[in-house]
Order: sequence, then C-alpha cells, then structure tokens
Amino acid sequence: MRKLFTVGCIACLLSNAAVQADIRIATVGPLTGPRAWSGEQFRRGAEMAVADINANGGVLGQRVALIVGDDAQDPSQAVAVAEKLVGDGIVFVAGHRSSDASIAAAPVYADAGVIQISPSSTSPDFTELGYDTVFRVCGRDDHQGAVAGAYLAAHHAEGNIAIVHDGSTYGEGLATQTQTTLNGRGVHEIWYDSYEAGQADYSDLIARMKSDRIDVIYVGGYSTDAALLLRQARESGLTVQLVAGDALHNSDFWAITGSAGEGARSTFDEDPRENPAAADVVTRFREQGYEPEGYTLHTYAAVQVWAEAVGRAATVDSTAVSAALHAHEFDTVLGEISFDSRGDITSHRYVWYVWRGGRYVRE
Amino acid sequence: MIPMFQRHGVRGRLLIAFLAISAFAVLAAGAAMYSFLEVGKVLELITTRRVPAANSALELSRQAERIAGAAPALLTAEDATQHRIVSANIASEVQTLDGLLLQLQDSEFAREAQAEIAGTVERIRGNLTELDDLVARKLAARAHKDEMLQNLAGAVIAIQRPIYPQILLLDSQSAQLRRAVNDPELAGEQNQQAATDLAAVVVSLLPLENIMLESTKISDKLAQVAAETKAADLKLLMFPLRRSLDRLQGLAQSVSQQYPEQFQDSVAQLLGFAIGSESIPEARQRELDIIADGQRLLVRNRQLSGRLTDAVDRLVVTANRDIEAANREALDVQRFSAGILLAVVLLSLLSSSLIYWLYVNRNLVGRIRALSDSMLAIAAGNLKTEIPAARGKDEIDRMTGALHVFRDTAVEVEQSNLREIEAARRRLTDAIESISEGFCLYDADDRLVVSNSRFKEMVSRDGLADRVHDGMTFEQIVREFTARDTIDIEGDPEDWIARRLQQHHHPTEPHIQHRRNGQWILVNERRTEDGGLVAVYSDITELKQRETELSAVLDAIDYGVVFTDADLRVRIANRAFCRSWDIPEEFVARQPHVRELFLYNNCKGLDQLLGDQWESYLQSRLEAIRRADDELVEVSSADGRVYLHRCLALPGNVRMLTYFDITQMKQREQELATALQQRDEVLEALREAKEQAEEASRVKSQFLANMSHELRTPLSAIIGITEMLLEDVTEVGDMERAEPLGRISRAGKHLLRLISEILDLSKIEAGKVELNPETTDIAAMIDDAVATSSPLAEQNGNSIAVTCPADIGSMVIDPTRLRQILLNLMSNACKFTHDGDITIEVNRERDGEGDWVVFSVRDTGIGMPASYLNSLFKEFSQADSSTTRRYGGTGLGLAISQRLCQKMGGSINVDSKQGKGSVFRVRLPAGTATAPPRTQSALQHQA
Repeated sequence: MRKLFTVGCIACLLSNAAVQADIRIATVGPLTGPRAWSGEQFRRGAEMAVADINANGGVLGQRVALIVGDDAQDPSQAVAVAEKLVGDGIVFVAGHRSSDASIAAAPVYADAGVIQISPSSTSPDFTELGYDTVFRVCGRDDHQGAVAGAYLAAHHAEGNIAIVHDGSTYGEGLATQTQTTLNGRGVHEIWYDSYEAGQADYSDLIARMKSDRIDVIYVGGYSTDAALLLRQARESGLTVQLVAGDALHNSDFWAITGSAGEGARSTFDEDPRENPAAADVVTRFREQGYEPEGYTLHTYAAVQVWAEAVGRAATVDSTAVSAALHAHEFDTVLGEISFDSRGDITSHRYVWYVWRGGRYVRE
Repeated sequence: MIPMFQRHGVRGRLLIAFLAISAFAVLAAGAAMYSFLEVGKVLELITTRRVPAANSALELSRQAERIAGAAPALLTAEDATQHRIVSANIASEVQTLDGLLLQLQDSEFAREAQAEIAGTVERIRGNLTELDDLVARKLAARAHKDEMLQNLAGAVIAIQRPIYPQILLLDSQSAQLRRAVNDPELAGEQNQQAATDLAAVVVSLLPLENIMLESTKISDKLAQVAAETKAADLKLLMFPLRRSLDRLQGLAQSVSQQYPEQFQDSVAQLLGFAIGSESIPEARQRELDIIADGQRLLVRNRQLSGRLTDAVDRLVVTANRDIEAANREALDVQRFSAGILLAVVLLSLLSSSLIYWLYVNRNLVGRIRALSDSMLAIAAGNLKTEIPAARGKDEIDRMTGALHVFRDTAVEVEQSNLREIEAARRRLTDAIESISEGFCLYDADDRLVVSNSRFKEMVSRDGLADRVHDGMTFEQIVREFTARDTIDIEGDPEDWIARRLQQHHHPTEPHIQHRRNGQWILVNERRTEDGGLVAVYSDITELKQRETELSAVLDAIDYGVVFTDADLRVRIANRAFCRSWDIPEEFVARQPHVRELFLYNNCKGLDQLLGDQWESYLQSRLEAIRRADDELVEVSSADGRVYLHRCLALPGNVRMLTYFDITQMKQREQELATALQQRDEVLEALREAKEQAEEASRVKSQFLANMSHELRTPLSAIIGITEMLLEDVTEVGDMERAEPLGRISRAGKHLLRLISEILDLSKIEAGKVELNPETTDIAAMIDDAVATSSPLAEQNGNSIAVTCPADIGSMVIDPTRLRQILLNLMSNACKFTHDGDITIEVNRERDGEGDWVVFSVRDTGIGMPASYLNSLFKEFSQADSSTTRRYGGTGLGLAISQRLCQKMGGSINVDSKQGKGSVFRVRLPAGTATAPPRTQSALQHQA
C-alpha cells in the first residue's frame, strides 16, 4: 500500500507540471558575419526581457521560451530562418535587424499569424507592406531623412553637398528621402550617387568629391563603409563634413576613423540608456559586463510591448494581439509607446549626435 | 371408451390427458435444470476464478512490456516539457500496473507466481524512478551546456569585435598602398616607401586575421564537441582544439599592446569554455556519462520486464490447465442430462399418440362428423333427415339435443311462411285490381302474366275481350289489335308493329295512342328487375280534349304565346307566335326544345351571332327563361319588328313566354324623340341669340352713358350762355333777337333732358344704377308726386284725384326712383289729356311671393291703339311718331320706368283704349315695412 501511495504522488506531481507548455518567441538578427555584434545586441536585449518576464510569472501564466535566430543580415537567409521559426511554433518575433531582412521575412510571419516587431528596421517600406502583424519600435527613414535634409538645407545651403548610398533598402531609402527634403527647401545637391558596400578603396569617389569641391557628404549606408570613406577622404586632404543616419551609432566607426571621425554627425533616437525608465535594466546589463548600446534596449522594449499586449488581449492569437497593440499605450524602457494604424510608433523624434573623442555625443 | 372416465365431460377428459403430457414436460425440464446447474457451477469456477487471474496476469505482462517500450522515450526527451509529458505517461502506466497487481493478489491463485511477479514489478518501478532522475540530470547538464554555447558566441564576438574594423582599415590601407606602389606618377622613392609601408601593413594584418580565424575555428570545434555523441571521438577532438587555443593565446599576446585589457579577458573567457572543469567538453562528457547510465538502466528495465513476462506466462499456463479440467467435468454432466431428456421425450410422444387415437379420433371426431352431416342436410332444406341419438350427457350430446329442437322449430316456421306469402299475393292482386289505369305484367319471355280488370275493360271496349288472355306474348296481343284496326295508325301497319315492339323492348318515354273508338290512351312501360315488364294504360281522352280547346283559345290570341315544360321543351306555341317568328307550325308541333327554336332563328340569320358569342348568348337566354323573372324585355326579329317579351313561371315548372308586337309604338317613340331633340336645338339657338343681344345692348348702353356725359358738359355751357344773352336782350327789348335765342334755349334744354334720360337708361341697362332702399311713407310720396305734377295738369285744364287708403303705411324702396316713376307717369297723363281727369290710386296686394304695393295712374286722354301697346316700353317710342312733335318728350320715360320697376323686383303694365284714356299700373314689392306705426328704432334696424 505504501508503494502505491508513493507512485500516486509521483504521478500527481508529474502530471501537474506537464499541464502547460511554454510560449515560444524568437529574436532574429545577424549572429554571424561582420555585423554579428548587432545580432548580439538583439540576443542580449531579448534574453534579459524574457528573463524579467518569466521572473514576474510569465505571460498568461505560462513561461516564455526564447529562440535566437541568425539571418546573417541576408534577406534569403532571413526567409529561411523565418520559416524554421514558424515551424518551431513561435507566436512572436523581435526582428529582424536590417530593413531588407525584415521585409523579406514579413510575409512568412504574417501568413503564420506571428507578430513581428522590429527593433531597428527603419525603412518606410516595412510598415507599408500592409500586414497587420508588422510593427516597429524605432523611427522611419523618411522621418530621419527629413530631419537630415532639413539640417543640410539650414546649415549648408551655400556649400557643395553630395549624397551617396550603398544600394540597400535602408541606405537608398534614407538618401532619397534626404534628397527630397533638401530639394523641397530649394537647395540642390551637386550630385547623388551610389557606391558598392564593403569596398576597401574609395579613392574614385574621393577624387570626384575633390574635383567638385564637396563640403558636405550625406551617406546612406552602414558605419564601416562610411568610416572608411571618411578616413580615406581625410587622409587625402579633404575637410569634408560627414552626415549620416542611425547606422553610424556603433564603436566600429571610431575604431576605423580614429581622429578622422571627429565632428562626423548622425541622426538617432534619443539614447534610451538615458531614459529613467531604463535605468534599472541598464544597470543590470552593465553588471553582466555588457554595454546596452545601439538597439539592445529597443529589442528589450519590443519584447516588453508584445508581452503587455498579450496580457491585454488575454490570448496569443495574432489578430487579438495586433488589435491590442494598435489600441493601447505601453510603458517600456524606451518610454511610453503607442502604434499608429501602420504599426509605426506614434511619437518619435530623431536627434543629432556628433562624434567627439571616440564617443557619440548628443548635440 | 374407458368406463372410468364415463362420468367426466369432454372438458374433464381433455384436461386429464393434457395434465399427463405436462407431467412429462415437467420431468424433462427438471432433468434440463439439473444439467444446467451442474454446468453452471463448473463455468462459474472458470469465469470467476481462473479466467480473471489469467487475464490479469496477461494484462500485467502487456503493461510491463508497454513500460519497457516507453522507457527509451524518456531517455530521448529533448527538453523539460517533453520530459514532463513522457514521465507523466510512464507514471500513469506504472499506476495501471500496480492496479493489475492488486487484482491478481485478490484471487487465491498461484501464490508463488504472484510473489515473484510482485517483486519484479517493484524493481521495475525502482528502475524507472532512477531513470527519471537521470533524465532530469541529463536535461540540466544539456541546459548548462547550451548556456555555455550561447556565452561562447558572446566571447567570440567580444574578441572579434575590436579586430574587425582594424582588419577593414588595414585592408583599405593595403589597397591604397598597393596602388601607390604601382602608381607610375609617383617618384621612385615614394613607390619604394609605399612598398615598405605595404609590407608593414601586411605584417600587422596577419596576426589579426589569424585571431579571427582561430577564434572562429575554436567556436566551431566547441560546437562540434557539444554535439559529439561518442566519448572516444570527444577526446580526439580535443587535440586540434588545444592547438587552436595555443595559437590564439600566442596571437593575443602578440597584439596585446594594441587592445585594452578587456580583449585579453575575452580570450581568457574563451579558454575557460574550452579547457577546465567548467568547459564545454567537460559538460558534454558529463552528459554522455549520464546517457550511458541511462542506457544501462534501459537494459535492466528490459531484462526485468522479460522476467515479469516469464512469470506471467507460467501463471497463465496453470490457469489454462484448471480451465481444461473444469470443461471436462461440465461435459460429463451434460451427457447424463441428455440421456434423461431423451427418455422423457419418447414417453410423452407415446402417451400423446395414445390419447389421440383412443379418444380424440374414435370418440370425439366420429360423433361431431355425424352431427355436422345432419346440420348440413337441415340447412339444405331437408328437414326430415336422420339425427344421431344422444347417448350420454357430454357437450356433444347436448349439441345433438339442440339440433333436434332446431329442426322442429324450422318445420314450424316453414309452414307459417307459406301462409304469409299467400296473404301477400292476395293483397297485391287487390291493389292491382283497384288501380284506375289498365295494368299488365309481362314475364321475362314477354308473356302476359297478370292484368287487371280495368285493362280487360279497355280490351273489351275495343272488342277483343275474348281474343286477349293470360299467356299470350306481347307481339301476339299487338297483332290482334292491329288486325282489328282498333288503333289510329299512320302508314304501314307492319312498320308500326316493328316500331311498337322496339319501343316495348326498350321502354323510355310514355307514348300516346289514339284508338279508333276516340279514346286517347297514355302507355307507360317499365322493365322490372327480373327482366319482366309492367305496362300501365291511362285513359287521357278528357285531357286531350282540354288541350285542343286550349290550342284553339291560344290561336285566337293575336300575340305570340309559347308554353314549355320543365325541360324547356315547347309544349304549345300558338299560331301568332309561329307567324311573327316565321316558324312553320309543323316544326313547333314536333315539340322541339327552346334551344332548337333559337337555333332555327339563328340559321335564318336572325341573331347574327357566331361561335362562342352565339353560345354564350344562347346560354344567357336559356338561363333567363329558366329564371323566369317576369321582366319585360324587347327583342327584335329579322324583319325589324320589335316585340315586348316576357317570361312567366307557371305551376309545375311550366314557363309561359309571350311576345307582344310593339313595332308601331316604337316608331312613334322614335319620332317623338326626334321632335324633342329639334325643339331643344331651337331653344339653345334662341338662348344664344338672347345672350348676344343682351351683350350688344349692354355695350351700347355703356357707350351711350359715356357719350351723354361728354355731350352734357358743353350743352350746359350753351344753355347757360343763351339764358344770359336772352336776359340781356329781353331787358333791352330787342325781341327780334330774343325769339331765336329763346328757341336755342328751349332746344338746348330739350336736348339736355334727352341726354339725361339716355344717360339714365344707359346706366340702368349697363347695370350701373345702385338702388338705396329705405323705409318710405307711401302717402307722402303720392302727395309729393301730385304737387309736383299739378302745374302741368293745370296747363291742360286737368284735375287730379287721389285714392289712397288711410292705412297704406310705408314700404322699403328707393324713394328717388319711385318718385321718378310716378312723376313720369303723372306727366305723361297730364301731357296726353286735355280738360280731363287724372286719378292716382294706391293699394296693397298679397300673393304667394309676398306683399306688393300697386300704384295706378288713370287718365281720360287720347289713349292708344292696342297695336302700340307692345312697343310702348321700348326706347324712343311714342304711340305715334307725330305725337313727339305735338306733345314733346324724349320717348324714354316709359322705357326707364319699366327698367327701374324690373330692377326693383316689380313690373309695369298698361291698359288703354284709343280716345278713352289709359291706365298704367306699377306693381312693386312692399319690402318688409308695412303698417304706419313705425318706431324710429325699427327704421334704424332696417338700415
């Protein structure tokens, strides 16, 4: 009889524990390749957010399990990894990193009813795909380009302006929007051109800048390319002013330019690390020996809004969650966030940062 | 028959026989029950003891196998959730196993085997618990390893992150330098310098690229290690890993001065993941050890479940042996019971046969058959048949007695029936005899069977009393009649006989025969149900005479009369009808249907209707006749004559249709209508002419009114100036010029008066005169008129008399206009009378329209011829145109007076004789005022 009792108790315990499975979510960014560090920001941000949510009792009383996906910032790989994650049964993805990848993967998530909140894809096209499942917690390049264009028109109307981009959705979109705003203010660039990303030598472009006496160059592209371009330009004796977008915001830039990067300016969100709401999270990241720069806190916030929306909707079903996301305001480490009908955040402001002595400083 | 049963009835004896057979059945049931109980006992032993035990054991064995099969799934669980699910499954299986074991222990069967089974189950359970723990540990180890792998990625990124931009930078520098080296535009030294710089750049690039390479390699190897499934391969993998680690350490050392301490920390962290107790290989080794332990546990589990299966098999074999023994026992009992049953069945068959043969067949059936033969004979009418004698007192004997009584009763009833039939026949004969008509009955062979004396009387009247008798066929009788020529036959007698026979064989309607002796006989024949025939001969001679008389009467009437029967068949149509509708009398004499009459007319084109239209017309006419609503309808014949048609219902559903010729009346009516229409047209023309004339008159008056006004103004000036001149001239005494001026003055005044009167008349005719009625004292009015006209009267030597009742009172009227009328009449009277009397008289009158006041002015003057009286009240008319010259005046006074009278609702007329004088009478409505005592307030009220 005693044995029977023991067995019964074990069975009881086991069956209770087995009642509910975890809710699976994912974050996707480049975990390999030259921008693996940015994927690391996603992983770190999402992991801490999930850990915090589970420590507070999970979502709808269930634990949240995080899967980390790698798209190597390649649109094709992004689609493949999205399909794999859908197969794993995720209900939400914080991703992807680049606009190309996010746009490529969006249909897969939309078909499977997976909510997609990108922490960092700024291309306008992303939220204009028309999917109810698509959101982002960062700004839009048309806003960013408008800020940049207005700045150039206000400060460099008399100077010679050149606009270049790397041909990516992000880069070209940003450059075009900047050009449009600039021209709208009656100021016209000397030329508008594209370059090939990942080159080692930008001397042709520099020669052209020299001959046309370019004072200001706006770069729609990623930081390493811009950094190399700037450094090589300075080394060849050009005092050109570099203006760029949010991609400039990582330590690689200064690592390449060195002192040549002094004075380069870029648009970015107000640094969320300075947000009081983020203080606790930032402290804990630093205790782990990790600096939550770039889009780390954006990723944290993406997971936060999803979890809150699920709580409001009382289900993980994408239709209900999407409706909740559109309907409510959310307290996040980025401050209070709400979404418009496309999935863009309603209050967003780009501010200017300038590189000084190896750090980017809010102007 | 067994004598001892003699005193029982059939019921008692059958009861005893059935009881005997039932006793055998009870005996057989007892034997079967015994067998059933015995077999049941054995079966119970098998089902309640042996089989459940064997079943439990088999179930136990299967359960053990199931657990053994499920255990590997536990080991392969990949995460905590899967583990929980599998573990819960196995726990529930183990619980089932325990339940089965308890069931087995309840049965007192194979104690020894049970103990062994219980022991094995206990060990399986222990084994599973151990396995469960092991899996939990394995999952923990895996989680730890996975976490380390994640952190490994972070460490690799931390190493590569600062190096990657450096590589990019150096790449770019080397690209630039390479170009500088090959740049022909640069000086040779510069090329040289660039080459040297390029070498330095390449030298510093190499360790950086190697760090990238080695760190990636280490990361890959560690990932490989983490997935390695064999301990031996794991050890082998460690060698290249160590080599890479050494190289990375060396490289890191070489570039240490370029990067902050953090870089070295990252390298150290990476080393920690690769080597040491907390390294990934160690973690994987621990995981593999746990898996190996698990495999061992699984093997033990399989062995234990095999042992359990063996023990259970032994248990099952024992149970099977027990079941076989019990089956054999049950079979023995069954055989014994079957023997008993067979014997009982044979005995009961034998006794049943004996009962049937000895009692039922020989005794009961024999007697009942004899009895039924007798009954059948009686039913067939043989009342004298043999009836078996009653031998005893049983039910059959009692039935025999009843049959005796029944037969006796039947004999009695038969005799009484014969008497009643005779009485009925007599009554029938009496009935037939008493009929006033001749009656014959022919049988199916058409022979005369019965005839009454009335028929015989008819026959004898024809002188055939001895020739016609019962038994003759109808044809023979007919031929007798024809041979004696007693019937008024038209045409060949043989034809008539054939027709008569045809009629006789297929009787339909009654028909009439006219006998030579003057009798009219109505023959009515009907078939009887048995194929015979009844013929009734009625004497309708008197009826026929009446009909003839009626026909004569009807023919004497000069309008069409038709009588129809209920079916609308023409019974009588008089000669006038035939004549008016041009229908031959022979056609009517055939007594056609009314429909045929219509058809006959239609064929003559009388109704001019075709097809459906004709049919519906016909139906409506027939329906009207059926309804017989006694309405007068006009119908026309083809030759245009019109008849007043009427349909009457007479008693007996007879219809009487009459056609009364009203053609002449119609023509008169037509002529009258035409005359009336002509009169209306004339009246209309007259009215129009009158309207036109009135309109013209009104326009003329309007014109005159306007013109007179225009004329009066200058004329007044002429008169005024002439008067002034005349005064001047008169004063001077220049009478030569006074005379023409006097003429001008007189002529002007005349003209002015004429114009004033024309204007007055025009106003009246143009409807512009407005009357202002007020209460007027009549006597005062008369006095005023007399006073005003007395100078004129005196001029001609006339005297004026007034006749006015004292209570004449007052009237409501326009006094100015009344005065104008009276003065006009008075001045006329004075003017045309010399040395005579003028009388003015006033009176009241009353008639249906109200109160009137009549003024009359009478003179004894010249008077007028009657022919002038008509035009007297027309404008510009005096009785003679010469009078104008003699008496002056405009000729408008009377016209105006008449118009005013009419306007005030009254009238004026004249009565005159030439040379004797005239009387003018003015008749005006009194209004509402009457009596003289009028108060002021009443007058105000009137206003």
